[in-house]
Amino acid sequence: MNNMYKTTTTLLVALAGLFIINACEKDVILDLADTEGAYVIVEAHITNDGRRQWVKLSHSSSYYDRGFGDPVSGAEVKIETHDEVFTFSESLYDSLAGFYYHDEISEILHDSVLYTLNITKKDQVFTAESLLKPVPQLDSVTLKINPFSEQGINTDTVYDIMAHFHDLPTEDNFYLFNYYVNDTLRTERPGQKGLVSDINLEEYVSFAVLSINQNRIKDGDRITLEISSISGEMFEFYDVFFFQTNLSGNPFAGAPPANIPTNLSEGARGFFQVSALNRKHVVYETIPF
Amino acid sequence: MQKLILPLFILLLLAGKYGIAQQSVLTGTVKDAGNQEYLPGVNVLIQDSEQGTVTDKDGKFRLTLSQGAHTIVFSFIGYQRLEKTIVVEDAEYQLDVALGNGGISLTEVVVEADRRRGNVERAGMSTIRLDMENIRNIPAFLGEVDVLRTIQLLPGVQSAGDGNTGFFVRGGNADQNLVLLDDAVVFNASHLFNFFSVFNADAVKDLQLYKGGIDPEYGGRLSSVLDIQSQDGDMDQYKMNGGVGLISSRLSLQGPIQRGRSAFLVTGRRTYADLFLKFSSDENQRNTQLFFYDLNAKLNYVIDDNNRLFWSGYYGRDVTKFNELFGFDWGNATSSLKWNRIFTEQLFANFSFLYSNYQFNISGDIGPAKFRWNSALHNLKLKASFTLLATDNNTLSFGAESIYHQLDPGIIRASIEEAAATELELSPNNGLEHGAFINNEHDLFNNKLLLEYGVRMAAFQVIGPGKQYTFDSSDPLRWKVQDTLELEKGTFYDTHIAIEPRVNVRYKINEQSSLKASYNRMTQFVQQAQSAQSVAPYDVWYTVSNNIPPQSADQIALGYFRNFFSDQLESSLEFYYKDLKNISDVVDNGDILGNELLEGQLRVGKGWAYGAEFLLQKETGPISGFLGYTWSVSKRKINDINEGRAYYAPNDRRHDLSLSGSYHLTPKWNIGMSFIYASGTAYTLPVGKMSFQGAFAPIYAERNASRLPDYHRLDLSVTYTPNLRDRDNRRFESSWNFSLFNVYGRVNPISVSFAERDNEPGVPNSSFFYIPGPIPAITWNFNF
Repeated sequence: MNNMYKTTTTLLVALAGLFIINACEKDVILDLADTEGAYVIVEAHITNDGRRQWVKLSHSSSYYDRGFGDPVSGAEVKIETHDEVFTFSESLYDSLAGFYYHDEISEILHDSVLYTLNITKKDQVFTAESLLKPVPQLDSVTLKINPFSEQGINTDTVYDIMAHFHDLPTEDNFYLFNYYVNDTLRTERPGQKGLVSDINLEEYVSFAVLSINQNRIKDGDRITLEISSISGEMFEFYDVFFFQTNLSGNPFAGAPPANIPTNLSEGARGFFQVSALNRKHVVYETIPF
Repeated sequence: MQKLILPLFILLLLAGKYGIAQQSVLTGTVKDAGNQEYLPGVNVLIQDSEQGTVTDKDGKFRLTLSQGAHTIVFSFIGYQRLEKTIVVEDAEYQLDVALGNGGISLTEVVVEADRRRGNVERAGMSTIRLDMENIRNIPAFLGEVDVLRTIQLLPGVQSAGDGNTGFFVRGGNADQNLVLLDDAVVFNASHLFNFFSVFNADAVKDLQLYKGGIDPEYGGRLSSVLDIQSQDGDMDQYKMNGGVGLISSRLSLQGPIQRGRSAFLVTGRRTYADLFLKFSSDENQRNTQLFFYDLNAKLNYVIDDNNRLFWSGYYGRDVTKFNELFGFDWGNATSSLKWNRIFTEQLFANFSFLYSNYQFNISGDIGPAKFRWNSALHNLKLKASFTLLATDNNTLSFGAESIYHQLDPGIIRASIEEAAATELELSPNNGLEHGAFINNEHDLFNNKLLLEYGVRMAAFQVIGPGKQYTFDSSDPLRWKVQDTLELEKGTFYDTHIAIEPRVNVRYKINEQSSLKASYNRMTQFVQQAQSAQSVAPYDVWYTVSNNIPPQSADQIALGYFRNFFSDQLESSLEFYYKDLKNISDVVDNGDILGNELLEGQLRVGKGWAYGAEFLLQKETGPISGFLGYTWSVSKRKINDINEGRAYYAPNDRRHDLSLSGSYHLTPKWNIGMSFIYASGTAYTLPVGKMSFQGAFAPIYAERNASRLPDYHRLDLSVTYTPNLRDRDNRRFESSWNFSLFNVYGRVNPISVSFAERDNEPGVPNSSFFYIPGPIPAITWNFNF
């Protein structure tokens, strides 16, 4: 909720500033220093959804490279608790090099347990910790026409995806929202996800956490909303990711350039998070204005 | 060190009092014969001697001379040269003069050979006084004459970016400049997101920028003092002047209330781009508001020969409103009440009661989310300053001031329909700042050596209400609140005391050249957190606290000053070194926008800056202008930032060259130009990228380790005055100004964006934000 102050003010002021000064934007290619392959990037969001879990390892790449970073193969990837060790195995398919899988871990995650990710690659060891926090159960999901569309400001018809749930009684909870259309994830990228901090939230939460364009759905589609418990650090990770990649360089409201925070050690980038999650769905039918 | 300062000061003062010199002291004032305004910066010289001075901001001067007959020469650009022969028999002599406008219009060729001896004569260095008439001849962005943009051209001063009136002085931050309008602090001196300054050129009489060697009278900021004095109003006749430009119009009226005794001045300015939006067919555009306005007013009343009263006020607002979705307005208000009192021929005083206010309001109705943020700060100041002509060769200035700071970051109200409503009250920062100062100007060895030495005692008291946070700093990047202390309303808490010695020394080599040295310590108790890459209207001011100690700066400077061609050409070469303590910067990804735990996002460390500045200036004759060059370095070293390693300050720039001037082609035609070249500013550029969940983000190494491309720009202007008031014996005069900003359309980046290419997800791109050019402008100015 606190994030709303920053997001709202920053975005509006940035737009206002650019509108006022009528500054132009020109694409340029700069002569940048290059540290291609110098950093290991870790993508590890382990959940209790009962499915096969994965950890993706890649190298950093030159800024102007169009592709993604080269995979990190041959690493040893483990997630440990005080009494258990889950060893991940790298995919045997070349096209999935750098992906490390585990089939059972999702079934045996426990609330309030601290999980440690250990990645060993040659003589380098990268570690990160994540505490599995509980997540509130979604009561229901509804769709509502976004006020911008309702008022005609937005010419497209956009629906807000409304989440309805009882917030957890404990303080400082952070939630991550994704949505699926007919079981296909539509919020893959960091900037597409919904983030909510429960600071100042009412006990019963009922508001828009994501939005969806009518052009991307049709009557009868099954829209599934997913809520995950995340740490404050991961909340910050996504928050900064959004600002650094969407408002980078804006002279009025842009964040000064800085690295996205990480919970990994030894100079690795990315994030490790263990989450509890649950889902609810709604079947879409056109909502008349 | 501090224990030695007071005895040393007394010793130096006594040395003057009991010195062997037996000379007379000449004091007086210089004013405009027409409107009776006192004139600052007038050259006052004893003919056929090496002695001279310039008038202060109240038009006063003081000279030491031997008894007997002397011819005193008064000269000032745009005025008739005046020579007065006096016979001095007593120890003191008072001489008040008035200079007549010699019919030297700006549109005529200025042939008066004004002697600009002040450059060599003054003890003070690192100080530049700009003449408003010369500022008007420099090409203006969109035709709006702007004093802050002109200041950015000076050596040692850097712009905060293209199209930005923010400035940095000698490696300092933008909030380290004390900007004064008639002695009242102006907290945000910009309109339209820094595009224009709040100073309407029609209202400004005089401005002086101190980059170093700062007089003990001034305090509270580390890097510079920009002292702007507004016009007093004409006591003799009514005058009106104004202008119609592309983006704004101006109107100024002044005249006597009681002829020869009191006068008024009112100026106003408003932009009108938004008025044309009313004719738009688009309803959203019709509902858009986008303008700024400002008003200046001044009253000036001569009570008697020994008492004079001034009141001046400023009120300005920026208003931005997009439909009902978003509103943002901000502005300053100042009020200055000053009483000038001459007690005796040796003692005069200024008493001031000053008020400053700055506030901003942001509102948004974004779908189900509603947002309001109202913030304000108030500054109330009482000041008394005295000048005592203590002995033949000692002029003592002393005084005291107290400032009440009420910094209220405000209340943020946010709500999400059917879900949440919250109100966040940002903790106020209140404090009392005190300053007591004493300074002696000490003339030695028949004006061969001139010393100015003094000290400022500064203190700051934190006053409740408010909050003091104690942070757990075990995670260097994420401080967490450990404890909160509620400060009770009206209760005094921490007191910070600082002693600030100030010394200026001038050794005159000969009539045309001198060597100067200066040392000053400055302390700053009130700072501003900068949220974006340029100074923004919503940047919050805060006071010292248990987490934020007072900042201090020690600066030494050495300089050689040389005039050529009968003082028509001034030059100076200065070297400086500045040591900054307790300077603060925002931690990586710091969230300081509307954050009640702002202090947890700041880190404190040290900084240093050094450089060399060269200035060549010519203010008289058909060709006038200046050439400035700066070589400088500015660095910071702060724990938890850049992993504790030293890094370049965001304003670090190695080379800065500016050439600015005007040429009076004929009495009716004037050509102006300015050219700027600066090597690239320090910037943080990526060294790679990381891919994550189908998106990517840049990876950075060292903070500010890279450079933006070099900056260069040429501006030109032509002014045509069809009817010359003085030559054609007309009361009405008008002129047309045509200007071209960024003549050859150089792309000078304000900042750089690293993001995905539009409509091509996953494709990395980089782009410059810049002000496009060339930008033509036309302005019609008039006066009668």
